[in-house]
Amino acid sequence: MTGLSAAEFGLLNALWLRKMATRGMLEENADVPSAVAEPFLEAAADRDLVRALGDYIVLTDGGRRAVLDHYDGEYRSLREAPEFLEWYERFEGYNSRFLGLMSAWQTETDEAQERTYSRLVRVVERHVDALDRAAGWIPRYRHYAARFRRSLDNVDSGRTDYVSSPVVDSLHNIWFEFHEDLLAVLGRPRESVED
Amino acid sequence: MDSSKLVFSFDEADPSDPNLYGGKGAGLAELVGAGYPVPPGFIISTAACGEFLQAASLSEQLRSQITDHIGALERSTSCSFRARTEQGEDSGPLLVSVRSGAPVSMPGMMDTILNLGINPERAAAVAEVSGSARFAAEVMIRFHRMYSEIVLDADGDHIADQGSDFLTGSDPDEADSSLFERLWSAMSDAEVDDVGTAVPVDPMDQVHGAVAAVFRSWNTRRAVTYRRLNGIPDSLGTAVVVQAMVFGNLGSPSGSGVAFTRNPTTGAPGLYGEYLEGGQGEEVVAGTKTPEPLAVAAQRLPSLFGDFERMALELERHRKDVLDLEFTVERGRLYLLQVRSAKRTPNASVRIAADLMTEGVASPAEALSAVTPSQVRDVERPRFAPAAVADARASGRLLVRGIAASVGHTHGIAVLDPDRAEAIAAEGENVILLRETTSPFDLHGMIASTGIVTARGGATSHAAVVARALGRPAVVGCSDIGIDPGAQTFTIGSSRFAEGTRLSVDGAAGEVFEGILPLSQPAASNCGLSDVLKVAREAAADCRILGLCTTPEQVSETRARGADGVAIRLIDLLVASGAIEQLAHELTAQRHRDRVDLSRFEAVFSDLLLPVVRAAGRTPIVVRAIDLIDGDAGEFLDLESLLVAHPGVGLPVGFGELIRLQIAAVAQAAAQNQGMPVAYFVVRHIADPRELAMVKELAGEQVSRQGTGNVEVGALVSTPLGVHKAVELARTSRVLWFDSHRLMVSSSGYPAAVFTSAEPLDEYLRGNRLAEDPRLGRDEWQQRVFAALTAVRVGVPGCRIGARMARSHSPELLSAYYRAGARIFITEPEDLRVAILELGKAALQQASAGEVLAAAPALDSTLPLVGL
Repeated sequence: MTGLSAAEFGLLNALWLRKMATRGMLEENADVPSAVAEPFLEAAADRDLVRALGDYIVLTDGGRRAVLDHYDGEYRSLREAPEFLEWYERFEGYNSRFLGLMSAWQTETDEAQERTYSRLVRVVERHVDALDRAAGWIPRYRHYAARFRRSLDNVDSGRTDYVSSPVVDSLHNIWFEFHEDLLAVLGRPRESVED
Repeated sequence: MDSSKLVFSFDEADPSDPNLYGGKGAGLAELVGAGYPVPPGFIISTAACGEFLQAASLSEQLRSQITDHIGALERSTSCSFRARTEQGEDSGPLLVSVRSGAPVSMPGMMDTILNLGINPERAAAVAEVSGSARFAAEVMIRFHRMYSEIVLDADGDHIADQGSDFLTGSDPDEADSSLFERLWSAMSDAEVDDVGTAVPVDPMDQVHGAVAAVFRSWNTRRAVTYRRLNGIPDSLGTAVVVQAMVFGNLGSPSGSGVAFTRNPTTGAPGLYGEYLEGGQGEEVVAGTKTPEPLAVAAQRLPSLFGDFERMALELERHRKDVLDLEFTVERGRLYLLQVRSAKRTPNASVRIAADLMTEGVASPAEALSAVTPSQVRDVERPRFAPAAVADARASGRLLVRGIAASVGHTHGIAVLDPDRAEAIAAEGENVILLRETTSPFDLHGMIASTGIVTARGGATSHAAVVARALGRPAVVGCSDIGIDPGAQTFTIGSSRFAEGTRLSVDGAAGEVFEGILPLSQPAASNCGLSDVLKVAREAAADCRILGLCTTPEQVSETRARGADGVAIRLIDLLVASGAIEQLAHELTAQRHRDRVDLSRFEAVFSDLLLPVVRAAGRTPIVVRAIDLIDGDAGEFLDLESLLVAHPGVGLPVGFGELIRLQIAAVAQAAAQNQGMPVAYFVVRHIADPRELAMVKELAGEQVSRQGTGNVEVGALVSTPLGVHKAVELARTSRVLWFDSHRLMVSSSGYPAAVFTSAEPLDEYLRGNRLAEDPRLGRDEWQQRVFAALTAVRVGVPGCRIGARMARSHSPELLSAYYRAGARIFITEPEDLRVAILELGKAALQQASAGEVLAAAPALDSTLPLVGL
């Protein structure tokens, strides 16, 4: 175990997923108040887990190791749980549908796009329900569900950049981060410290 | 009409009443009324929707009317829906589709459900009629997928997977009669497991469930939001269309196809499509079987396809638009399943609009309105010159092919690291980011790059999705590329390349070339676009459109885009040449002097102007005076000290020396450019005729001193005070200019940048904090501006009105200035073609509305040159 509290891991994990973020972004993505985040990130910089680059913060190799170690310690037993693995299998189905629909949405014209987006929403909504179910194993997954809901609301009110834009908290961004998170929970992160 | 009647057959419905029958229902009624063959069916009206939403259930009355119409369908198709015994042993099974059909198309509404009526017993009948148990099983799986997803809110794909898994490894055609029972149970079990309930077995229950789902979808979160945002009343309700299914695999000749009335990629005329003998429509769409070209099928079945072609082209003429048709032939009978406006590339769209006009199908106004600004911008997007691509291919410079992930052509130097990509791009270099894969860690590098290439990943990879979202051309999954980040090299096959190698990326073809392929503007060669713009130009023949230029190259580019003349902001020339720093230095050095001597800048200004003026040749030129306070010079000047040193610069003509110098420079440049009889010099913020008189006096002195070089001075109205005095200013002007962008800024007090980007104003408007979008020219203030324009037009007949449009202005604002009476427009070069198109639309619209300008200025025969 790495001795990180849930909030602390949440912040470092958000940074590991975002790669580069401001403190505000981390607080929002990890759902941690400034009063907790600020002193922790300062201490983390002193311990050489994170480094400031202007307004942005990045993880050091030590920080990445701390995040991955925490995943290993926290979720080792979950990796063997048949119900969780079944849940994950189901997610892989959503994942391939989500990515296929996302690409279709980006490359279609308006009329077809609307239909595709409806299907995309259905996949996201189903995934949001699944996240709520998974919160029994991993409580912080509830916050992904909240972020998805917020982005869906944004799209519904006409902000289509919340579908796939990389510079806002778009459905694609959240999905991508979640997928990385889930792979790390399963002990199969796409990148390791040695990369 | 009998208000208790809620269900109508297609021939009972009134095509002109989409509010009652929905858009889809009215469209079908129109086709049936005109004699086109569509599968029979009926419409449940929007009135039934209102009833349902109040009672939260289908009324007995509605159920009984649905039952009657299903009975009528059974009779007209000689097939049975409910059970085979009711219609006798000989009749085949009737399956139906259920679709939502709101009066206006809207997101969040229910998708189509096909194959209602199928159940284990009916599946056996379908197998018998089609001769294929596999087909019947697939019909059942497809039905479960759609129904469970849409009506039960289950995971339809998962349910269908259970059905397909059940079939795997067995041949349905060899199976015993219990196959359909078992298949149904496998999917029902999965449904119960997922959502606690299963798809009903009884066909009538299926229809009731689907109709209720359509009505409920009226109140999905997305539909409600859409209606709120677009002011669509909640009381409108949706209709439901129930239609008999036809099958392209029953008997012979049967088959299914899709057709476009013109080629949707190029826009070339002629019916274009595919036909799958003995196949179902979805097999054609999904590409699971290989269809034949329509022309080949037509040789076999000439009379049937002859009829089809005639219908298709007739419909195209009637709808005045290129159409996408889905059709099925069932036992030699042709049915149109879907007739809709075809998706098409921007290129095709422009060509089709031009062709429909030439063919006399569409009027010029209809043709112009079919072309959107974004299509024009897309057609204008630079592409590799075809000859250069052929040459690169022939000389072996095509390095690698991958997956075409994000369209567009670009070139730059290969950079293997996002940080370096950002740093190199910051120096003004075009960068192609070349990565194994991308992750959020690469985002800053992707934003800085003009193109993206990855070695791994598919069309849905992070790189692909982000590239499309950013609008960067991208090729992904180039598996032949090996990247060595440490050595800063990459390999393709046995060749090794260093970072910095020049690459050209074709994101549409998925190709990466070595070297720089020149980009050209394809718009010039798109005959459709030139035809459309020619019509627009003719429609707006009394308009003059000037492009804002800084270099001679821009002048020729601008002329190629159709500009009648050139506009120059002197400050741009100073900034581009670096002369602004000299001027700033001089102003600081001469602070607190009574008489400022800037005379050496006369030659500087005139030298800067001359090349651009020469390039403009005999076309009109408008030069805007330098505005040191409210412009783009801010980063070169210390405004606070400048105002202390030379307080006069804070007023439009408070720093006379600077105005005098500029007039002298303009006059000199004009004099040296033989053939250009007049140049216009305009000063921003002028609001009082006395200010204008002073500038005129300076110009008069200058011209008499120089003895040549005709300079016409004018005011650029950019403040509320200027709008207020517009008529007075116009009395002494040949042209009165309005700065549309500054007028928004000065009236609102918002920073200028607010009006040239989507955010934050879009968000502000969505939050309902402004009644009108100020960028569209609809708010009360802009109405006053337009009233001032109209007052000038009516009250000062000799004066023409010019409008300066900011970068990416809204087409609506441009039209509003046109309607108010502006006839000269200054735009950024990249907005020129769109401006021409929109002015054409506005002119035709005004002509058709019968509006006549009250006192339009008489057209001067020398208009293109001096009469501006």
